[in-house]
Amino acid sequence: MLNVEELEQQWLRYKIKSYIPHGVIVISSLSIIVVLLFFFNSDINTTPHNIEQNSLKEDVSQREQKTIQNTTPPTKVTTPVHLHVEESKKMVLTPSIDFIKEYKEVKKPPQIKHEEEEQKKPSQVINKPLVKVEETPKTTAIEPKETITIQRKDSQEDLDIIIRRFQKTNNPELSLFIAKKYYSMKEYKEAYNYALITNKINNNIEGSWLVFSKALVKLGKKKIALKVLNQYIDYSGSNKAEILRDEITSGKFR
Amino acid sequence: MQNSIFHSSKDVFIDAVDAKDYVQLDRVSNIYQSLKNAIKKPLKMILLYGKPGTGKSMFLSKLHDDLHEQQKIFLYKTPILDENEFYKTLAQDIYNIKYSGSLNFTQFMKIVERDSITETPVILLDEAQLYSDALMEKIRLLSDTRTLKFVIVLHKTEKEDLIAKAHFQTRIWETIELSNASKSELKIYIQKKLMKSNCFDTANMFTNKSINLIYKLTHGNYRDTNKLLYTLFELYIIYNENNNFKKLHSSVISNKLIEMSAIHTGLIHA
Repeated sequence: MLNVEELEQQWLRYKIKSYIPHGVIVISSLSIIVVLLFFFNSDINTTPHNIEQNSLKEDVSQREQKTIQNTTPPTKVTTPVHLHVEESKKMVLTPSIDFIKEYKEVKKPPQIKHEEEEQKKPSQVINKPLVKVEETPKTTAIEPKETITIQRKDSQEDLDIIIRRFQKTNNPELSLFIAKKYYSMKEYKEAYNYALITNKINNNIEGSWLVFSKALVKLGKKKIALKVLNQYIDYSGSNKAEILRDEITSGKFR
Repeated sequence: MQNSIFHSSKDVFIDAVDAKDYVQLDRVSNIYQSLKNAIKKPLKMILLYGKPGTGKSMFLSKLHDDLHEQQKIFLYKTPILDENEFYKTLAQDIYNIKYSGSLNFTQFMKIVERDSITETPVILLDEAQLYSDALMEKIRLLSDTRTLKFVIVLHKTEKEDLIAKAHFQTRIWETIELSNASKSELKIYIQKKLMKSNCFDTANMFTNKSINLIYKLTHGNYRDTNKLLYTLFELYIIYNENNNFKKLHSSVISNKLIEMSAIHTGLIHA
Protein backbone atom coordinates (compact mmCIF):
# COMPACT_ATOMS: atom_id res chain seq x y z
CA MET A 1 0.00 0.00 0.00
CA LEU A 2 1.35 3.41 -0.89
CA ASN A 3 1.97 5.97 1.84
CA VAL A 4 0.43 8.96 0.11
CA GLU A 5 1.25 11.52 2.78
CA GLU A 6 4.88 10.60 2.82
CA LEU A 7 4.94 10.62 -0.97
CA GLU A 8 3.40 14.08 -1.01
CA GLN A 9 6.06 15.37 1.35
CA GLN A 10 8.77 13.82 -0.75
CA TRP A 11 7.21 15.36 -3.82
CA LEU A 12 7.17 18.78 -2.19
CA ARG A 13 10.83 18.48 -1.30
CA TYR A 14 11.60 17.38 -4.82
CA LYS A 15 9.75 20.38 -6.29
CA ILE A 16 11.57 22.82 -4.04
CA LYS A 17 14.90 21.30 -5.00
CA SER A 18 14.02 21.41 -8.67
CA TYR A 19 13.21 25.13 -8.51
CA ILE A 20 16.43 26.06 -6.73
CA PRO A 21 18.60 26.05 -9.88
CA HIS A 22 15.98 28.12 -11.69
CA GLY A 23 15.91 30.56 -8.80
CA VAL A 24 19.67 30.78 -8.77
CA ILE A 25 19.76 31.45 -12.49
CA VAL A 26 17.07 34.13 -12.25
CA ILE A 27 18.75 35.86 -9.31
CA SER A 28 22.16 35.70 -11.00
CA SER A 29 20.75 37.11 -14.22
CA LEU A 30 19.01 39.92 -12.38
CA SER A 31 22.20 40.72 -10.44
CA ILE A 32 24.22 40.83 -13.63
CA ILE A 33 21.69 43.11 -15.27
CA VAL A 34 21.66 45.41 -12.25
CA VAL A 35 25.46 45.55 -12.15
CA LEU A 36 25.64 46.24 -15.87
CA LEU A 37 23.05 48.98 -15.58
CA PHE A 38 24.92 50.46 -12.66
CA PHE A 39 28.19 50.52 -14.55
CA PHE A 40 26.55 51.83 -17.67
CA ASN A 41 24.93 54.67 -15.77
CA SER A 42 28.05 55.38 -13.80
CA ASP A 43 30.02 55.65 -17.05
CA ILE A 44 27.62 58.28 -18.31
CA ASN A 45 27.79 60.13 -15.03
CA THR A 46 31.54 59.84 -14.53
CA THR A 47 32.43 62.21 -17.39
CA PRO A 48 31.80 65.12 -15.14
CA HIS A 49 34.41 64.53 -12.51
CA ASN A 50 34.46 67.46 -10.21
CA ILE A 51 37.29 69.24 -8.52
CA GLU A 52 36.10 70.77 -5.32
CA GLN A 53 37.23 74.35 -5.30
CA ASN A 54 35.19 76.43 -2.93
CA SER A 55 37.49 79.44 -3.14
CA LEU A 56 37.76 79.18 -6.88
CA LYS A 57 34.02 79.36 -7.14
CA GLU A 58 33.94 82.80 -5.65
CA ASP A 59 37.03 84.22 -7.36
CA VAL A 60 36.36 82.76 -10.73
CA SER A 61 32.80 83.95 -10.70
CA GLN A 62 33.93 87.42 -9.86
CA ARG A 63 36.52 87.45 -12.61
CA GLU A 64 34.14 85.98 -15.06
CA GLN A 65 31.63 88.67 -14.44
CA LYS A 66 34.23 91.17 -15.49
CA THR A 67 35.37 89.34 -18.54
CA ILE A 68 31.93 88.36 -19.71
CA GLN A 69 31.44 91.87 -20.92
CA ASN A 70 34.29 91.45 -23.34
CA THR A 71 34.04 87.84 -24.11
CA THR A 72 31.12 85.83 -25.25
CA PRO A 73 30.05 82.84 -23.29
CA PRO A 74 30.92 80.24 -22.34
CA THR A 75 33.14 81.89 -19.79
CA LYS A 76 31.34 81.67 -16.52
CA VAL A 77 32.34 79.16 -13.98
CA THR A 78 29.80 79.87 -11.36
CA THR A 79 29.93 76.55 -9.62
CA PRO A 80 32.89 74.57 -8.46
CA VAL A 81 34.63 72.25 -10.81
CA HIS A 82 35.30 68.92 -9.33
CA LEU A 83 37.74 66.20 -10.00
CA HIS A 84 36.79 62.73 -9.10
CA VAL A 85 38.86 59.67 -9.30
CA GLU A 86 36.36 56.93 -9.46
CA GLU A 87 36.88 53.28 -9.19
CA SER A 88 37.04 53.00 -12.94
CA LYS A 89 40.10 55.28 -12.79
CA LYS A 90 38.62 57.86 -15.08
CA MET A 91 39.32 61.44 -14.35
CA VAL A 92 37.59 64.20 -16.15
CA LEU A 93 37.39 67.89 -15.53
CA THR A 94 34.00 69.41 -16.02
CA PRO A 95 32.68 72.87 -15.99
CA SER A 96 29.58 73.92 -14.15
CA ILE A 97 26.11 73.25 -15.35
CA ASP A 98 25.59 76.94 -16.07
CA PHE A 99 28.73 76.95 -18.12
CA ILE A 100 27.47 74.11 -20.20
CA LYS A 101 24.11 75.76 -20.71
CA GLU A 102 25.69 78.99 -21.73
CA TYR A 103 28.14 77.26 -23.96
CA LYS A 104 25.42 75.50 -25.78
CA GLU A 105 23.69 78.76 -26.42
CA VAL A 106 26.76 80.20 -28.06
CA LYS A 107 26.18 81.12 -31.60
CA LYS A 108 28.82 83.72 -32.24
CA PRO A 109 32.45 83.11 -31.76
CA PRO A 110 34.09 85.03 -28.92
CA GLN A 111 35.53 88.45 -29.57
CA ILE A 112 39.03 88.73 -28.51
CA LYS A 113 41.01 91.75 -27.54
CA HIS A 114 43.72 92.61 -29.93
CA GLU A 115 47.12 93.74 -28.80
CA GLU A 116 49.89 94.23 -31.18
CA GLU A 117 52.40 92.79 -28.79
CA GLU A 118 50.38 89.75 -28.24
CA GLN A 119 49.92 89.24 -31.89
CA LYS A 120 53.55 88.49 -32.30
CA LYS A 121 53.53 85.75 -29.77
CA PRO A 122 50.22 84.38 -30.76
CA SER A 123 51.23 84.43 -34.36
CA GLN A 124 54.27 82.44 -33.48
CA VAL A 125 52.11 80.12 -31.55
CA ILE A 126 49.47 80.07 -34.19
CA ASN A 127 51.81 78.98 -36.90
CA LYS A 128 52.71 75.82 -35.22
CA PRO A 129 49.24 74.74 -34.29
CA LEU A 130 47.95 75.70 -37.69
CA VAL A 131 50.60 73.59 -39.24
CA LYS A 132 49.72 70.89 -36.85
CA VAL A 133 46.10 71.21 -37.76
CA GLU A 134 46.97 70.88 -41.36
CA GLU A 135 49.24 67.97 -40.95
CA THR A 136 47.50 65.89 -38.34
CA PRO A 137 45.45 63.16 -39.91
CA LYS A 138 42.75 63.60 -37.33
CA THR A 139 41.79 66.97 -38.63
CA THR A 140 41.55 65.61 -42.10
CA ALA A 141 39.41 62.86 -40.73
CA ILE A 142 36.95 65.39 -39.42
CA GLU A 143 36.18 66.67 -42.86
CA PRO A 144 37.32 63.92 -45.13
CA LYS A 145 35.63 65.37 -48.10
CA GLU A 146 36.93 68.94 -47.65
CA THR A 147 40.45 69.96 -48.37
CA ILE A 148 42.07 72.08 -45.73
CA THR A 149 43.85 75.12 -47.00
CA ILE A 150 45.85 77.36 -44.78
CA GLN A 151 46.10 80.99 -45.49
CA ARG A 152 47.85 83.61 -43.51
CA LYS A 153 45.14 85.78 -42.11
CA ASP A 154 44.43 87.77 -39.07
CA SER A 155 44.75 85.62 -35.96
CA GLN A 156 41.28 86.49 -34.79
CA GLU A 157 39.79 85.22 -37.99
CA ASP A 158 41.85 82.07 -37.76
CA LEU A 159 40.61 81.44 -34.28
CA ASP A 160 37.04 82.16 -35.27
CA ILE A 161 37.29 79.60 -38.01
CA ILE A 162 38.70 77.04 -35.60
CA ILE A 163 35.98 77.76 -33.07
CA ARG A 164 33.27 77.38 -35.71
CA ARG A 165 34.79 74.13 -36.85
CA PHE A 166 34.90 72.89 -33.29
CA GLN A 167 31.27 73.80 -32.74
CA LYS A 168 30.37 71.71 -35.77
CA THR A 169 32.60 68.76 -35.15
CA ASN A 170 33.19 68.71 -31.38
CA ASN A 171 36.72 67.57 -32.03
CA PRO A 172 38.76 67.75 -28.79
CA GLU A 173 41.92 68.44 -30.75
CA LEU A 174 40.38 71.68 -31.92
CA SER A 175 39.15 72.68 -28.48
CA LEU A 176 42.61 71.99 -27.07
CA PHE A 177 44.12 74.17 -29.75
CA ILE A 178 41.66 76.93 -28.88
CA ALA A 179 42.53 76.55 -25.20
CA LYS A 180 46.21 76.83 -25.95
CA LYS A 181 45.59 79.77 -28.24
CA TYR A 182 43.68 81.63 -25.59
CA TYR A 183 46.37 80.79 -23.08
CA SER A 184 49.01 82.24 -25.34
CA MET A 185 46.87 85.32 -25.71
CA LYS A 186 46.71 85.53 -21.92
CA GLU A 187 42.98 84.89 -22.02
CA TYR A 188 43.32 82.50 -19.11
CA LYS A 189 39.65 82.28 -18.41
CA GLU A 190 38.89 81.17 -21.93
CA ALA A 191 41.85 78.85 -21.86
CA TYR A 192 40.54 77.33 -18.65
CA ASN A 193 37.07 76.86 -20.13
CA TYR A 194 38.23 75.31 -23.36
CA ALA A 195 40.56 73.03 -21.45
CA LEU A 196 37.51 71.88 -19.51
CA ILE A 197 35.55 71.30 -22.71
CA THR A 198 38.41 69.27 -24.14
CA ASN A 199 38.60 67.17 -21.02
CA LYS A 200 34.89 66.55 -21.08
CA ILE A 201 35.06 65.20 -24.59
CA ASN A 202 38.16 63.11 -23.95
CA ASN A 203 39.67 62.92 -20.49
CA ASN A 204 42.82 61.21 -21.70
CA ILE A 205 44.26 64.27 -23.44
CA GLU A 206 47.22 65.27 -21.36
CA GLY A 207 47.36 68.72 -22.91
CA SER A 208 43.95 69.65 -21.53
CA TRP A 209 45.13 68.91 -18.01
CA LEU A 210 48.29 70.96 -18.46
CA VAL A 211 46.55 73.97 -19.96
CA PHE A 212 43.90 73.79 -17.29
CA SER A 213 46.48 73.75 -14.50
CA LYS A 214 48.54 76.52 -16.04
CA ALA A 215 45.44 78.67 -16.50
CA LEU A 216 44.54 78.12 -12.87
CA VAL A 217 47.97 79.24 -11.76
CA LYS A 218 47.67 82.32 -13.92
CA LEU A 219 44.28 82.98 -12.40
CA GLY A 220 45.89 82.86 -8.99
CA LYS A 221 44.66 79.43 -8.00
CA LYS A 222 47.98 77.77 -7.47
CA LYS A 223 46.83 75.39 -4.76
CA ILE A 224 43.97 74.14 -6.81
CA ALA A 225 46.22 73.75 -9.81
CA LEU A 226 48.62 71.67 -7.74
CA LYS A 227 45.79 69.53 -6.39
CA VAL A 228 44.55 68.86 -9.90
CA LEU A 229 48.01 68.05 -11.13
CA ASN A 230 48.71 65.71 -8.23
CA GLN A 231 45.55 63.78 -8.82
CA TYR A 232 46.21 63.59 -12.54
CA ILE A 233 49.75 62.39 -11.87
CA ASP A 234 48.45 59.68 -9.53
CA TYR A 235 46.02 58.59 -12.18
CA SER A 236 48.23 58.71 -15.25
CA GLY A 237 51.82 59.02 -14.10
CA SER A 238 52.37 61.80 -16.63
CA ASN A 239 55.92 63.10 -16.76
CA LYS A 240 54.92 66.45 -18.19
CA ALA A 241 52.46 66.92 -15.38
CA GLU A 242 55.18 66.13 -12.88
CA ILE A 243 57.50 68.64 -14.48
CA LEU A 244 54.82 71.31 -14.43
CA ARG A 245 54.00 70.52 -10.82
CA ASP A 246 57.64 70.90 -9.85
CA GLU A 247 57.89 74.17 -11.72
CA ILE A 248 54.81 75.50 -10.00
CA THR A 249 56.02 74.35 -6.61
CA SER A 250 59.48 75.83 -7.11
CA GLY A 251 58.05 79.09 -8.36
CA LYS A 252 59.64 78.67 -11.73
CA PHE A 253 56.19 78.80 -13.24
CA ARG A 254 53.99 81.57 -11.99
CA MET B 1 -17.46 3.89 -11.02
CA GLN B 2 -14.38 5.97 -11.43
CA ASN B 3 -12.41 3.69 -9.18
CA SER B 4 -13.18 0.69 -11.34
CA ILE B 5 -11.77 2.57 -14.33
CA PHE B 6 -8.56 3.16 -12.46
CA HIS B 7 -8.45 -0.45 -11.31
CA SER B 8 -8.76 -1.70 -14.86
CA SER B 9 -6.16 0.77 -16.05
CA LYS B 10 -3.82 -0.26 -13.32
CA ASP B 11 -4.05 -3.93 -14.29
CA VAL B 12 -3.12 -3.06 -17.86
CA PHE B 13 0.33 -2.11 -16.72
CA ILE B 14 1.18 -5.20 -14.71
CA ASP B 15 4.71 -5.98 -15.76
CA ALA B 16 4.20 -9.45 -17.17
CA VAL B 17 5.39 -11.02 -20.39
CA ASP B 18 2.34 -12.20 -22.28
CA ALA B 19 2.15 -12.37 -26.03
CA LYS B 20 -1.49 -11.31 -25.87
CA ASP B 21 -0.41 -7.98 -24.39
CA TYR B 22 1.91 -7.29 -27.28
CA VAL B 23 1.38 -3.76 -28.62
CA GLN B 24 2.13 -3.27 -32.26
CA LEU B 25 4.23 -0.23 -33.03
CA ASP B 26 5.36 0.55 -36.57
CA ARG B 27 9.08 0.51 -36.03
CA VAL B 28 8.96 -2.48 -33.71
CA SER B 29 6.71 -4.32 -36.14
CA ASN B 30 9.36 -3.97 -38.82
CA ILE B 31 11.94 -5.39 -36.47
CA TYR B 32 9.65 -8.26 -35.56
CA GLN B 33 9.07 -9.03 -39.21
CA SER B 34 12.79 -9.10 -39.88
CA LEU B 35 13.19 -11.54 -36.97
CA LYS B 36 10.52 -13.78 -38.42
CA ASN B 37 12.18 -13.68 -41.80
CA ALA B 38 15.58 -14.42 -40.30
CA ILE B 39 14.26 -17.63 -38.77
CA LYS B 40 13.31 -18.84 -42.22
CA LYS B 41 16.83 -18.26 -43.50
CA PRO B 42 19.46 -20.98 -43.18
CA LEU B 43 21.10 -19.25 -40.27
CA LYS B 44 22.82 -20.93 -37.39
CA MET B 45 22.18 -18.26 -34.83
CA ILE B 46 20.27 -15.03 -34.36
CA LEU B 47 21.19 -12.57 -31.67
CA LEU B 48 18.51 -10.35 -30.22
CA TYR B 49 19.88 -7.81 -27.81
CA GLY B 50 18.95 -4.60 -26.08
CA LYS B 51 18.83 -2.86 -22.74
CA PRO B 52 16.58 -4.26 -20.00
CA GLY B 53 12.98 -3.26 -20.50
CA THR B 54 13.12 -2.82 -24.26
CA GLY B 55 10.75 -5.71 -24.99
CA LYS B 56 13.08 -8.60 -25.86
CA SER B 57 11.19 -11.15 -23.80
CA MET B 58 7.92 -9.93 -25.22
CA PHE B 59 9.39 -10.35 -28.69
CA LEU B 60 10.33 -13.94 -28.03
CA SER B 61 6.98 -14.62 -26.49
CA LYS B 62 5.20 -13.12 -29.48
CA LEU B 63 7.40 -15.06 -31.89
CA HIS B 64 6.71 -18.32 -30.13
CA ASP B 65 3.02 -17.55 -30.04
CA ASP B 66 2.92 -16.79 -33.76
CA LEU B 67 5.02 -19.71 -35.01
CA HIS B 68 4.50 -22.60 -32.63
CA GLU B 69 1.61 -23.98 -34.67
CA GLN B 70 3.54 -23.80 -37.95
CA GLN B 71 6.91 -25.15 -36.92
CA LYS B 72 8.92 -26.61 -34.10
CA ILE B 73 9.85 -23.70 -31.91
CA PHE B 74 10.76 -23.91 -28.26
CA LEU B 75 10.92 -21.01 -25.85
CA TYR B 76 12.98 -21.09 -22.67
CA LYS B 77 12.15 -17.94 -20.70
CA THR B 78 14.40 -18.75 -17.80
CA PRO B 79 17.87 -20.11 -18.41
CA ILE B 80 18.62 -23.72 -17.58
CA LEU B 81 21.90 -23.22 -15.84
CA ASP B 82 22.74 -26.86 -15.23
CA GLU B 83 24.26 -28.36 -18.35
CA ASN B 84 22.83 -31.82 -17.75
CA GLU B 85 19.39 -30.42 -17.25
CA PHE B 86 19.82 -28.30 -20.34
CA TYR B 87 20.49 -31.28 -22.60
CA LYS B 88 17.81 -33.40 -20.96
CA THR B 89 15.24 -30.63 -21.41
CA LEU B 90 16.13 -30.17 -25.07
CA ALA B 91 16.10 -33.90 -25.67
CA GLN B 92 12.70 -34.23 -24.13
CA ASP B 93 11.14 -31.17 -25.78
CA ILE B 94 12.62 -31.56 -29.27
CA TYR B 95 13.15 -35.30 -29.70
CA ASN B 96 10.69 -36.58 -27.14
CA ILE B 97 13.39 -38.56 -25.45
CA LYS B 98 13.31 -38.84 -21.69
CA TYR B 99 16.47 -39.42 -19.74
CA SER B 100 16.28 -40.34 -16.09
CA GLY B 101 20.03 -40.22 -15.54
CA SER B 102 22.50 -37.59 -16.60
CA LEU B 103 22.97 -36.58 -20.18
CA ASN B 104 26.20 -35.01 -21.31
CA PHE B 105 27.05 -33.09 -24.43
CA THR B 106 28.46 -36.02 -26.38
CA GLN B 107 25.39 -38.12 -25.73
CA PHE B 108 23.16 -35.27 -26.71
CA MET B 109 25.12 -34.73 -29.94
CA LYS B 110 24.54 -38.37 -30.84
CA ILE B 111 20.83 -37.92 -30.32
CA VAL B 112 20.87 -34.83 -32.48
CA GLU B 113 22.75 -36.58 -35.30
CA ARG B 114 20.67 -39.74 -35.06
CA ASP B 115 17.23 -38.18 -34.84
CA SER B 116 17.49 -35.62 -37.58
CA ILE B 117 14.24 -33.78 -38.22
CA THR B 118 13.25 -32.46 -41.62
CA GLU B 119 12.39 -29.11 -40.26
CA THR B 120 15.09 -27.49 -38.20
CA PRO B 121 13.78 -26.77 -34.71
CA VAL B 122 14.21 -23.23 -33.41
CA ILE B 123 15.28 -22.77 -29.83
CA LEU B 124 14.60 -19.42 -28.21
CA LEU B 125 16.88 -18.77 -25.27
CA ASP B 126 15.98 -15.77 -23.12
CA GLU B 127 18.38 -14.23 -20.59
CA ALA B 128 21.26 -15.97 -22.32
CA GLN B 129 23.76 -13.76 -20.51
CA LEU B 130 23.21 -16.04 -17.50
CA TYR B 131 24.49 -19.14 -19.29
CA SER B 132 28.03 -20.13 -18.47
CA ASP B 133 30.82 -19.74 -20.99
CA ALA B 134 31.19 -23.51 -21.28
CA LEU B 135 27.53 -23.95 -22.05
CA MET B 136 27.62 -21.13 -24.55
CA GLU B 137 30.44 -22.96 -26.33
CA LYS B 138 28.30 -26.10 -26.44
CA ILE B 139 25.43 -24.09 -27.88
CA ARG B 140 27.82 -22.78 -30.54
CA LEU B 141 28.82 -26.33 -31.43
CA LEU B 142 25.20 -27.43 -31.60
CA SER B 143 24.40 -24.59 -33.98
CA ASP B 144 27.33 -25.66 -36.17
CA THR B 145 25.59 -28.98 -36.81
CA ARG B 146 22.77 -27.01 -38.49
CA THR B 147 20.33 -29.40 -36.94
CA LEU B 148 19.29 -26.81 -34.37
CA LYS B 149 18.76 -23.07 -34.77
CA PHE B 150 19.17 -20.75 -31.85
CA VAL B 151 17.74 -17.32 -31.16
CA ILE B 152 19.77 -15.89 -28.31
CA VAL B 153 18.50 -12.98 -26.30
CA LEU B 154 20.96 -10.89 -24.35
CA HIS B 155 20.87 -7.80 -22.26
CA LYS B 156 22.96 -5.17 -23.91
CA THR B 157 25.49 -4.02 -21.42
CA GLU B 158 29.10 -3.21 -22.14
CA LYS B 159 30.30 -6.54 -20.81
CA GLU B 160 27.60 -8.72 -22.30
CA ASP B 161 27.95 -7.09 -25.65
CA LEU B 162 31.56 -8.10 -25.69
CA ILE B 163 30.72 -11.64 -24.62
CA ALA B 164 28.21 -12.02 -27.38
CA LYS B 165 30.63 -10.85 -29.98
CA ALA B 166 33.46 -12.97 -28.71
CA HIS B 167 31.43 -16.14 -28.70
CA PHE B 168 29.43 -15.75 -31.79
CA GLN B 169 31.21 -13.38 -34.05
CA THR B 170 31.37 -15.67 -37.02
CA ARG B 171 28.27 -17.64 -36.26
CA ILE B 172 25.77 -14.88 -35.80
CA TRP B 173 24.25 -14.23 -39.16
CA GLU B 174 21.66 -11.85 -37.91
CA THR B 175 21.71 -9.39 -35.04
CA ILE B 176 18.68 -7.45 -34.03
CA GLU B 177 18.79 -4.65 -31.51
CA LEU B 178 15.80 -3.45 -29.59
CA SER B 179 15.82 0.03 -28.12
CA ASN B 180 13.59 2.16 -25.97
CA ALA B 181 10.49 3.73 -27.42
CA SER B 182 10.53 7.25 -28.79
CA LYS B 183 8.16 9.84 -27.37
CA SER B 184 5.52 9.29 -30.01
CA GLU B 185 5.86 5.51 -29.74
CA LEU B 186 5.45 5.75 -25.99
CA LYS B 187 2.22 7.66 -26.37
CA ILE B 188 0.91 5.07 -28.82
CA TYR B 189 2.06 2.27 -26.51
CA ILE B 190 0.24 3.68 -23.47
CA GLN B 191 -2.95 4.55 -25.30
CA LYS B 192 -3.10 1.30 -27.27
CA LYS B 193 -2.57 -0.77 -24.14
CA LEU B 194 -5.40 1.06 -22.37
CA MET B 195 -7.75 0.94 -25.35
CA LYS B 196 -7.10 -2.75 -25.81
CA SER B 197 -8.56 -3.20 -22.34
CA ASN B 198 -11.42 -0.82 -23.06
CA CYS B 199 -10.01 1.92 -20.81
CA PHE B 200 -10.87 4.67 -23.24
CA ASP B 201 -11.44 7.35 -20.59
CA THR B 202 -8.05 6.97 -19.04
CA ALA B 203 -6.43 6.66 -22.47
CA ASN B 204 -7.78 10.11 -23.33
CA MET B 205 -6.44 11.59 -20.09
CA PHE B 206 -2.90 11.32 -21.37
CA THR B 207 -1.94 14.63 -22.94
CA ASN B 208 1.28 15.48 -24.71
CA LYS B 209 2.46 17.21 -21.57
CA SER B 210 2.00 14.11 -19.45
CA ILE B 211 3.59 11.90 -22.11
CA ASN B 212 6.56 14.28 -22.24
CA LEU B 213 6.96 13.97 -18.49
CA ILE B 214 6.64 10.19 -18.56
CA TYR B 215 9.19 10.02 -21.37
CA LYS B 216 11.53 12.29 -19.48
CA LEU B 217 11.34 9.98 -16.48
CA THR B 218 11.44 6.59 -18.22
CA HIS B 219 13.38 7.45 -21.40
CA GLY B 220 10.89 5.30 -23.29
CA ASN B 221 11.71 2.12 -21.38
CA TYR B 222 8.70 -0.17 -21.44
CA ARG B 223 9.33 -1.80 -18.10
CA ASP B 224 9.84 1.48 -16.29
CA THR B 225 6.76 2.87 -17.99
CA ASN B 226 4.66 -0.08 -16.88
CA LYS B 227 5.85 0.26 -13.30
CA LEU B 228 5.29 4.01 -13.31
CA LEU B 229 1.79 3.84 -14.69
CA TYR B 230 0.83 0.97 -12.44
CA THR B 231 1.80 3.11 -9.44
CA LEU B 232 0.11 6.14 -10.97
CA PHE B 233 -3.25 4.43 -11.18
CA GLU B 234 -2.76 3.05 -7.72
CA LEU B 235 -2.44 6.62 -6.49
CA TYR B 236 -5.55 7.62 -8.38
CA ILE B 237 -7.42 4.83 -6.65
CA ILE B 238 -6.22 6.02 -3.23
CA TYR B 239 -7.04 9.68 -3.94
CA ASN B 240 -10.47 8.66 -5.12
CA GLU B 241 -11.10 6.58 -2.03
CA ASN B 242 -9.97 9.41 0.23
CA ASN B 243 -12.22 11.85 -1.61
CA ASN B 244 -9.21 13.89 -2.65
CA PHE B 245 -9.88 13.39 -6.30
CA LYS B 246 -11.34 16.85 -6.68
CA LYS B 247 -7.93 18.33 -5.87
CA LEU B 248 -6.67 16.87 -9.09
CA HIS B 249 -7.63 17.92 -12.56
CA SER B 250 -10.01 15.13 -13.41
CA SER B 251 -9.84 15.30 -17.20
CA VAL B 252 -6.06 15.02 -17.59
CA ILE B 253 -3.38 12.99 -15.91
CA SER B 254 -1.88 14.94 -13.04
CA ASN B 255 1.81 15.67 -13.41
CA LYS B 256 2.04 15.78 -9.66
CA LEU B 257 0.88 12.18 -9.42
CA ILE B 258 3.25 11.15 -12.18
CA GLU B 259 6.10 12.66 -10.22
CA MET B 260 4.91 11.04 -7.00
CA SER B 261 4.79 7.68 -8.79
CA ALA B 262 8.27 8.27 -10.10
CA ILE B 263 9.50 8.97 -6.58
CA HIS B 264 7.93 5.73 -5.39
CA THR B 265 9.36 3.63 -8.23
CA GLY B 266 12.79 5.17 -7.87
CA LEU B 267 12.79 7.06 -11.14
CA ILE B 268 13.12 10.31 -9.17
CA HIS B 269 15.46 10.52 -6.22
CA ALA B 270 13.77 12.99 -3.93
